[in-house]
Amino acid sequence: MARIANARSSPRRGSLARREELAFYLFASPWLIGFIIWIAGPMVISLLLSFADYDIITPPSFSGLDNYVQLLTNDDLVWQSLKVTGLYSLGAIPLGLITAFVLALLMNQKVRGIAGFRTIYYMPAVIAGVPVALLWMWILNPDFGILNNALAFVGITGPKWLFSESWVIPAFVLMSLWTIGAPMIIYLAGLQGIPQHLYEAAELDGAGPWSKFTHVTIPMITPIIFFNAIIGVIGSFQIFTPAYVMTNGGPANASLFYGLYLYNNAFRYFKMGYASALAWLMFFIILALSLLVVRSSPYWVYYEGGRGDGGI
Amino acid sequence: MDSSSQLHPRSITRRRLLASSFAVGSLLVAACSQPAAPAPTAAPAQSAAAPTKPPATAAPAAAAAPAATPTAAAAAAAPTTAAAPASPTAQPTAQAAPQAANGAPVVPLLRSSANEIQFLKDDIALFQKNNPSITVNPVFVPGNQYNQKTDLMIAAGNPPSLWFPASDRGFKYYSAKGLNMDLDPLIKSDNYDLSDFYPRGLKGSQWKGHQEALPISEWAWVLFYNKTLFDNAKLPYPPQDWKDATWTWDKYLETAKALTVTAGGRATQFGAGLPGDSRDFFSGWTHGGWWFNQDWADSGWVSKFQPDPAVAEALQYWADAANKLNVAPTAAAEQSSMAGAPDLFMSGKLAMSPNSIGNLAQYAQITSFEWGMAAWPHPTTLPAHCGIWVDEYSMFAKAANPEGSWAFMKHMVSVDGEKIYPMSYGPIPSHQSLGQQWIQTWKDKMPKVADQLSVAVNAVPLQFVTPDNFTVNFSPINDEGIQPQIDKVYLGQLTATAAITAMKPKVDQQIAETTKGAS
Repeated sequence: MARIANARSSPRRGSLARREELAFYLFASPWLIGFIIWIAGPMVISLLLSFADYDIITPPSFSGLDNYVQLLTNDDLVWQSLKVTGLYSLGAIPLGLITAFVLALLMNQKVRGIAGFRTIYYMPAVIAGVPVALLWMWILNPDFGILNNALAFVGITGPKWLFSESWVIPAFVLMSLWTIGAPMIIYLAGLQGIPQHLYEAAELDGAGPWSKFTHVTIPMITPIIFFNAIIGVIGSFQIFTPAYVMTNGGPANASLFYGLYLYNNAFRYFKMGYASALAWLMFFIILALSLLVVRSSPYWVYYEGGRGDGGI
Repeated sequence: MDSSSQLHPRSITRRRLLASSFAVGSLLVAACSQPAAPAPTAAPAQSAAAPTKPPATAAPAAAAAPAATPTAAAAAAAPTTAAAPASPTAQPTAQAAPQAANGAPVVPLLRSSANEIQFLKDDIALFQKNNPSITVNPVFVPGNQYNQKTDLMIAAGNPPSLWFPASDRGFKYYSAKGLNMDLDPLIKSDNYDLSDFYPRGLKGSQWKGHQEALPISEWAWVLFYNKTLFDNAKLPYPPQDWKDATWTWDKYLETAKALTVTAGGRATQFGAGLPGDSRDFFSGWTHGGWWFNQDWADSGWVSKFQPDPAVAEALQYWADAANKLNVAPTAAAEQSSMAGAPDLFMSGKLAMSPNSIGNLAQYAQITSFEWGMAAWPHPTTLPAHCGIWVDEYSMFAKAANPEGSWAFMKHMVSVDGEKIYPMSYGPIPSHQSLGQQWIQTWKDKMPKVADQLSVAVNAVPLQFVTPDNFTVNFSPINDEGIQPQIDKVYLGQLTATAAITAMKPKVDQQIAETTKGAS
């Protein structure tokens, strides 16, 4: 290694190296330019705006740390929305991980017509956003919705779902299963990537189905779980559309998700500076949680080829 | 752990790449953001005064982003802005040549729904016919994007000439920032007659005593009732007379109970709907109470949250009607109409519905039962019964063609203009003299309620103006202060009195925040 470094670090840098560097920048430039204009630049602007008051139509006026002080000490809706989002994530992330995994196990069976089943289970994930929210509004309607009618069939009086403070978050957790198709496909790919010889070796050692599952399948799938967990954390903290369309934060702020609260501050109250501060707080929270998952990964994620440089 | 750095000390690492991207991004930000434009920051300092004569450079400088195209329009307007009605003495010269060679187009930003767009276009066409030298380039935008579009146009340095508020945030939001044009000098120099406008709409269009908007339409609220259901229950119809003191809210509740039919534990027919079919702010108004300080019209905005006892009474009344007495539909039942099904009144399931005449065009299509319009019950305290939605036009001080915009505004709120819009669209025109003509127009459309249309016209003088006319920015006040507590009342968790007490701190905070720069 050292000798190669010496050879490469000779003062006369080859024109080849320079050409290669140029070629790199050239090929990467579309992404680089896009990143600068639409991500890096706005992030910097947002950071600057979080220290100001800005309503778009008058120039921003510097206000120091006021926005951050306000949101940490003087705004109980911030804590309410964090609580709502936290509860939702606590329900939705494990439920999503487990359900997608179970579905993937089912989809991995060698049954005739399995391709059709896979399509059916994936299809809801393709339709997203507002139409899905409207659809769920009908399903969850306490008087006319099919969910409560189905429950009544077995003798249970269904709760008021979106109109009840205590059931509105479970309703959204339930709804989050709509997009289970995407993680399911990823699990499926992971399951199919598990080498058969491991199962055969386990069988030779006398492992039954359950042992095979816990000692071969799950360890091999942990990188996928890791990936889906991080995606799940990021996604569930940013939930917005269903709350915006269906409940608008109600009843009594019981479904005021953090993303919705941010949206209200930005585009209903036009407090752009405050909204930017909220956005950065969300950024750090998601970052902290993601780092938590990443740092914990050596303890439970198993990489067949050894860790190497596999971590983020 | 970058193995690449071991290979070549000066090679590109991920870290360096990201850092340099952010650095370049920051440089771009610094380069693109203009220094704070002197003109806009000076504007709030003269909120009640006439607009400044913006030099040609102010408009581009006001752009938060490097917007090159608006400067062309602004530059074209520059020579003529010197003739802007900046002071009364300049008026005669400006108005002497109303069709002055001001080539800049008048750009009204109009809320549009499929139904109203044609009427607006016809009105604009009439104006163009009478004023061929003024170009009008209307921008139509759906109601739910109206606020954003307005702000974006202003931020780009190209404010609309004429503005037509469409939601909670009315023209006062811009008045508080000194962006609206004070119409008093224009009214004075033209000797413009304001006497025919409904007084409350006119008062709501003022800011600190100055006229900063002119009302165009009044959406009165009446009591729609299902004649067929009344006949079936052998009950007398509700009265047409707004001053009928026997038609009280207690009587309303009794009538509602008699008209509620339950089958199998669930109501199949409701006696009475909630005001406007919504569980919100308006519920507090029906018994004559007022949520804020009475002298708000002096400044133009409410500064204190001090609900009358009648507000709590009204709120409790409606919550009980919905929860305890089950005469009113639940939120769930109404949600079906939100998601696209016809509303309960149209389906014949609601006997009485206190609602806006905005529903007239829809109800005109009802064929399965007979319906009528009546007066709201008489509260024990007067003067007003409930809200009325007043639409107004206002002008931005930095509009490209102030004389043309003023001529256009005058036309749209004139008797001739209002005969086209809003006469046939639905709401009552803001000119009192047009009341009878409105009745006549809708008699032809809805012969069955021909003799009851006067109820709507008679309602206008009795009703309050709605939040956009007395707050700077109602959304945060309502969303954070009022609505969550009202939700709790309708959920049965709080009494109305307790809810109002709970509302006060947040409402006060939001009033203070939204009116920070106003005085």
